[in-house]
Amino acid sequence: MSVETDRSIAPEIRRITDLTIPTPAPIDNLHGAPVFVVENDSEELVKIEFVFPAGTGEETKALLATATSSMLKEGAGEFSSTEISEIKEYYGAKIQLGVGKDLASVSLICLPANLKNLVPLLAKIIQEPNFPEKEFTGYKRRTRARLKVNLEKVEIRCRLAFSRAFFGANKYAERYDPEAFDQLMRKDLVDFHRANYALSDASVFVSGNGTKEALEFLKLHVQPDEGRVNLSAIGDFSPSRITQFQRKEGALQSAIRMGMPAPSRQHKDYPAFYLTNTILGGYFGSRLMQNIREDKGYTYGIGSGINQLKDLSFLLISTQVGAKHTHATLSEIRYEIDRLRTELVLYDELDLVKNYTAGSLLRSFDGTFNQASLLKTMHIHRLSESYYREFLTKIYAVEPADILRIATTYFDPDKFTVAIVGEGFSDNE
Amino acid sequence: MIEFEKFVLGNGLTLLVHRDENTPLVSVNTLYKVGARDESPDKTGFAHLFEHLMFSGSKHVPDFDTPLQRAGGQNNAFTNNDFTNYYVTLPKENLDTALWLESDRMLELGFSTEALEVQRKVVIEEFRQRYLNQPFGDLWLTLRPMAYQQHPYQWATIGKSIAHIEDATMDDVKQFYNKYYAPSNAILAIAGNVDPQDILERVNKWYGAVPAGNGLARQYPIESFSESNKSETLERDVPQKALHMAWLMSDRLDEEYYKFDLLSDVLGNGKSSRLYQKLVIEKELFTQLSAFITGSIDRGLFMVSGMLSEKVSHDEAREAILLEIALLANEPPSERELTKVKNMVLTQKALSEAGTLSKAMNLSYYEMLGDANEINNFQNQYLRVTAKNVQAMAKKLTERGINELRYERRNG
Repeated sequence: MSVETDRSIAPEIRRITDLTIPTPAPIDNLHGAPVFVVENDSEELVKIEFVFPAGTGEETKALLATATSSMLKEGAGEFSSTEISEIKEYYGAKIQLGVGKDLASVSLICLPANLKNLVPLLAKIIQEPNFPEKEFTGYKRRTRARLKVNLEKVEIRCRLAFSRAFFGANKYAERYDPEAFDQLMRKDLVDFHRANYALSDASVFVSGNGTKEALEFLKLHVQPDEGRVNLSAIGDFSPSRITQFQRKEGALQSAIRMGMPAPSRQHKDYPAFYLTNTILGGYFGSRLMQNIREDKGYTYGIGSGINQLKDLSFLLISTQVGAKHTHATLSEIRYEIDRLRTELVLYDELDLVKNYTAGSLLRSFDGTFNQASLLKTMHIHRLSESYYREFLTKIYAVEPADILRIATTYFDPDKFTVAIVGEGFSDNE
Repeated sequence: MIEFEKFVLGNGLTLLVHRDENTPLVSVNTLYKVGARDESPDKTGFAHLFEHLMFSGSKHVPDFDTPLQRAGGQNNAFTNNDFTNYYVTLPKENLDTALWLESDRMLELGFSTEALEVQRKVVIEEFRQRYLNQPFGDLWLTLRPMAYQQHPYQWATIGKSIAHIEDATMDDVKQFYNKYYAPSNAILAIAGNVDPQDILERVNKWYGAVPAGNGLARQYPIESFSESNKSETLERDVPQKALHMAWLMSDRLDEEYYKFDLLSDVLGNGKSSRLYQKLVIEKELFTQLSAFITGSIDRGLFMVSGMLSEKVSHDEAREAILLEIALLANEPPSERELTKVKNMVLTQKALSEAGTLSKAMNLSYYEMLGDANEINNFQNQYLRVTAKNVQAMAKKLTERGINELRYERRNG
C-alpha cells in the first residue's frame, strides 16, 4: 500500500486511434436477401435478424405497419397464436418484432441447440402469417386500451404534436390515431405484408454462436417468394415554424421537443455537425444538460440527438421540465444555440467531446450482437467499409472555427419546429 | 462460466476481477451496501438524493463527469431499496482515470452547498417526471405502505414525498457519507482485458489509503406474514381501470425465492403463461396482465398486475386471478410448463451476461448477497425446483393476506 499517491494530478489520458470493426460484406444469399454473419463461439446464444423495408413510412393507413408486425406472431402456417408463443417460450427463445420509420425487423434469439425447432417457426412467421380474424380482434382491443393510456402522457402527446408540425403530411409523419386504428381490416395487413416483406428487399444478420448451423436451417426452411410490389416516396416536406402548444390540465411538467433538418451521414459537414450536436446536448456534460439540469435544476434530463432516416435526417432536442420553468427553459435553449453561433468553442471542451465520441464508437462496436447491429446500419445506410475509421479521423481534425461555421449555417433558432405540451406557458418562476 | 479472482484490501474493500480478452473496454462497478431501507422514516429518499451528489465533486476532483468523458468514458448510477450502484465503462488504456475518480469520491466527498440545492431540484423533477406526471405513476408510492408495516420497504427509493427531499440538510449528507461510504461497505468489480495481479496493484495504489471506516451492525425489522386482506382504491384521471395484487413472499436467500419466481413465470410471464392465455386471450377480462416478483434482499412481494377491459369490474377481475392461483394450488403445473419457465431463466441468464459492464455488475451483486460464485451457480437453484414446489408456493399465496390496489377512472 503506497500512501504517497499524489491525488492532485490527474492520470494521463490516452487517445483512442484504432477501432476493431467487422467487415460489412454479405457472405451468403437467401433467395435474394444478402446474409451477414458475425460468428463468436464464446457466446452462448445465436441471433437471426430479418430486416424489411416495412416501417411506418410505408403505411397507407395509420398504424398499419405496427399492426402487421405485431400480428406476425398471431398465427402462421400450421401454427396457431398460442402454439407460436408456447413453442417459443418452451425453448426459452426470444422472437422480437420491431418497427421503425424505415424498417421493420423480425429476430430470433436462442440457444444454438434449439435452432432446429425454432427456425421453421421463424420462417412461417415471416413468410406465411395468417392474420386470423379472431386474434386480430383481440389485438385491436388490447392495443386500443394501450393507445388511450399513452395519449395521457405529455411525452407521447408532445411527440405527436412535434411530428405533425415537423413532418407535415410526408411519409415520416406519425399516425397515432385510435379511430383510424379501428378502421384497419385484415385485408390491409395481408396486402401490406405482401408488398413489404419480400426477400428481395430484405437483409439477414446472423450473429453469435452457431451461425453456420443457423444458415443451414434458414436455407432449409425459408422459401423463395414472388418479390415486392411497390414503394412509396417521402412526399412533401415543409416543417411548420409555428410553435405547437397543447394544453394538458394539471400537468406538473411540460414536455418540449424542438427539431430541425440535419445533414446525412454521407454529407461532408456531418462529422463537424455531429460534434456540434454533442457539445449542445449529446452527452451528460453537454451545455444543455449542464445549464438546464446541473445549474438550474429545471429538469431531470435534457438532450439532443441526430436521427438518421433513410431519406431524411433531423436533429431533435427533447426534455420534460417543471411546469413553471417552461418559458425559462426555452430561453436557455435559445441562449445555448446563440452561444454556439457567436462564440468559438475552446479546445478544452472540443477535445473532451472528441475523446468522448471515440469512446462511444468503441462501445458501440463492443460485443457480437452490437457488431451485427453495426453491420446492419452500415448496410442499410450504404456506408463503406472504411466509413467509421474515416469518421474518427475527421472528428479529430475538426477545429473550433468549423463548429462556429456549422452552428451559423444550420442552427438557426427561428428555423426549429417546436412542440410543447403542458399546463401553461407563463413567465412566472 | 464467468471466471474471476477475489481480493480483500487491508481497509476491507472487496475487489473482484474478471478477464475478458475480446474487448477493448473495461468496466468498473462500485456497489455500496446502502439503500432506501437504511433511511429513517422521517428522512426518506435520501440514499437516492445522495447518489446524485456523488457526481458533484470530491476532495481532489471538482467534477466527476468531465475527466471521465475526456477519457472516452461513460458512467451512471442507480439506487434501489437495498443498495447503490455506480458504474463506468471506458477504453482500457484509461482505466486509471476511472480508478482515480472512483477512489477519490470514496476518500472524501466535495460537500458543496450549491450542488445540494441544484440536485434537490433535479430530484424533485425526477419525482414529478416518473411518479406524479405519469398515468398510474403513484402505484408504488401507495402500494408499499400497504404491503409493509414494519420493514422500511414501506417507502419507495424516490422517497415518501417531495417534502422529504426539500428538507434534506448538508448535515444529513455528511452523516450519511461517513456512515456508509467506506471501503469496508463497498464492492469493486472490474471486467475487461486486464491482468488481475496488475489490477490489484493499481487498486492498492488508488484505494489503499482510504480509511476503512467504522464497521456497520445493521438489523432490519422482519415483516411478518399476515392473513388479512387490504384494499385501496385510487380515483385518478386514467383512461383505463387497473388492478395490482401483492403478497408478501420470502427473502432473497431463502430457497423459496426460486420457487416463487418460477410460480410467477408459470402464472404470468409471457404470452403462453396461464393468466395471459385464460384471462387476456380467452375471457378478455384484461388487456394486459402479468405476474412477477420484486426481488429484494429482505422479504419481497409477489405481484400480479393487470389493466382491465372496459366494463369488467375489479371484483370480477380479482376473482378470475384468484381462481387461476387456486387451480395451481390444487394441481402442480405440467412438466412442459416447468421446463418452459426454466428454459426462459437460462436464456435470460445468458442475455444478461453480455458485455463487460453486466458481468462486473452481476459479480458485485452476487458478492453483496454473500458469494460472487453464485453468478455461475444460481441457475441450479432454479433447475432443482419441482412442479410440486411450485404448487406449494401457490398454496401459500392462497393462505396469505392480499394487498390490493385498484385504479378507478375519475369520470366513469
